[in-house]
Amino acid sequence: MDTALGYFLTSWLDPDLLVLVAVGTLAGIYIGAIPGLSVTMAVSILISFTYAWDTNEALALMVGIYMGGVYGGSRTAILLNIPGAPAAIATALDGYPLAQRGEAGRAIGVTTVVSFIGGLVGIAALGLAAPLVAEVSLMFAPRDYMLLGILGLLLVASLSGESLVKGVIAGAIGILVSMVGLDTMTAQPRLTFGSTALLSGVSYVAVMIGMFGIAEALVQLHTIGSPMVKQNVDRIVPSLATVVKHLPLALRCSAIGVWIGALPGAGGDIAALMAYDHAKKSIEKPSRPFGQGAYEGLVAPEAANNAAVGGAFIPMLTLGIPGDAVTAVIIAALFVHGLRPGPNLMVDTPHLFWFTVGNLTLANIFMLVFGLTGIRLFAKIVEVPKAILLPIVGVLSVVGAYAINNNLADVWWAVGFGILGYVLRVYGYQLGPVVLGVILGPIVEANFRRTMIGVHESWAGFALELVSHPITLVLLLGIVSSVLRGTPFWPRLAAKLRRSAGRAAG
Amino acid sequence: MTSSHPRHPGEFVLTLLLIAGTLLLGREALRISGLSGPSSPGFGPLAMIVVVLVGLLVELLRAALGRSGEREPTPVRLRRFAAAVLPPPVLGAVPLLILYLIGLELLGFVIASIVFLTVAIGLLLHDRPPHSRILLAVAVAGGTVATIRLLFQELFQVLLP
Repeated sequence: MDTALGYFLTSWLDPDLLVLVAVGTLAGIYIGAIPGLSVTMAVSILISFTYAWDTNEALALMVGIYMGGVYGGSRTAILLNIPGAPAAIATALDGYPLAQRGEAGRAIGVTTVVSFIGGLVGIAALGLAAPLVAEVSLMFAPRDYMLLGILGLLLVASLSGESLVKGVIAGAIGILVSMVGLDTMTAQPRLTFGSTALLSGVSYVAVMIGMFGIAEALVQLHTIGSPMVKQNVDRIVPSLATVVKHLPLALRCSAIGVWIGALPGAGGDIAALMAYDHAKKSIEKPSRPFGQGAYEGLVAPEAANNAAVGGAFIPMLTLGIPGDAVTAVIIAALFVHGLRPGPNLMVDTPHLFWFTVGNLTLANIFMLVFGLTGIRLFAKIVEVPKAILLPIVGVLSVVGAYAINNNLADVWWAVGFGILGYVLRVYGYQLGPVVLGVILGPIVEANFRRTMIGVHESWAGFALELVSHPITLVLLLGIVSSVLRGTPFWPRLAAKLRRSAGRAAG
Repeated sequence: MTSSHPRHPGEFVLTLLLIAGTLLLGREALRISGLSGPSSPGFGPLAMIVVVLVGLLVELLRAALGRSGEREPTPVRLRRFAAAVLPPPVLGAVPLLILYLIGLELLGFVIASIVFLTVAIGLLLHDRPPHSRILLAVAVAGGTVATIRLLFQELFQVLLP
């Protein structure tokens, strides 16, 4: 326990790491707040810059950016009705009407405090649940990892974008990208078209920089002409009575955030929308009608999306399965530093787990401090025109892609995937499943092949494996339900099931 | 079959192009080890190609069914396509980005980046008076490149292109 506490406090007691967490959180708040710049974009670009760093330093910075960025998106959602990040979409629904009423300062104060509360709940869940999940995951067989990977891809495919089919296509494209190069089991070249340059595969960091940096910048060019709105913000520290009044809802929504965040592939954006929906259904007398400036409509999504941060780290650190796009990028960073997230990470490198929990807690505290101060500087930075910001993102993406191997080929890959990502985005394909496919592809494929070898390549044996173990069966049911939800028959089937359940209860 | 999501201009053609690309990839995947066994190195790529192809065929069908019976005149359709997919800023940014990469190889990071940033910012700030936007673009480009050199070479210790 003392050792765990020591690991937990590493960044708290080391001035360099403390500063990195603080800088990361501050940068995250601003990056998250600037419409067009996303946390995923920032972390993707940063990975390559931290290659030469110590793992602890790289993680301290990234964790800070992640925590700050999820919160930062709420600022512009409230002030400008432009969510700085997808996780703040629900926040804009009531946040902007509050700003129009002249209550922007109070709204920002409330979101800051409930984000802090949500963050703490998520971190507590991570600290308590992850060791248990890690123990259970030691019982996982290769088939379970395969199913978990597929479940993650299906969840993110079905919950984001226009259609499940487009999500599945995007995920499969990501898996195909991960298969380019020498096969890890037989060293046979795959999908290389005879090119020796492709034998080492496509750098997943280049794919991420392209998809989240360049593609996003190109998409943002569509709204380049939209005018920047000047902001006027007063005192923002909320009263204790306000906080106490909203605490029960914040805690309930934090639980939703942890649960959604912990699902492989689903992150803060989905958690926030589900929490908003929960608040609408569960609060009978909101401070104002929802959509017209209800504080409950701010509390619910903001508590949930920050709680989802801790939740997203649970599958990442215990199973090696990313909880969302940012943790997918952080997994890539851990790979770069020679670490393999998964059940053995808790056994082999327990310091890394408690170090991450300590960093998240520290970032959460910094988020509260920075969130309640520095508003004037904030207002100036988010007013920087996109015409200046987006070309700079382009240059940073190029520098980041080059830094992977000090090779211009990676820059060309990043730009190529950026253009592909732009086209896919414009046509309604989400890029999250592509990147998750790149990360999860090798996990799914390797474990599928191991399972098939284990059953002597017999499809009947494979099918039997899928239904003869409780953990496997649960995961399989999750996949079936995920697929069903994406079909047009689901609403009718769900209504029929509800009617049957009602009749049985009656 | 009905569709629940919006049609995008040019979606039918894009889906056809994606199908053609996937078939090309399929031919390459077949060369790996064919279908010699589910644990063979070629099975995974082929399986994913089948998934992509089936998905794209569903999307192709949706796009085909979603086409309106009364076809709009070609210039109208092209205008809608340009507005939704290739608005002027994107149309300018992609070739500029490619020229920037060529410039990186020929001129090095500092000069290529300053030129890229100046041109890109200058073009995107088209609503400002010419002299002020050129001044602003040059100042931002110079400042950004200097900051990147200082920050990334000194702090992050990464090599620049």
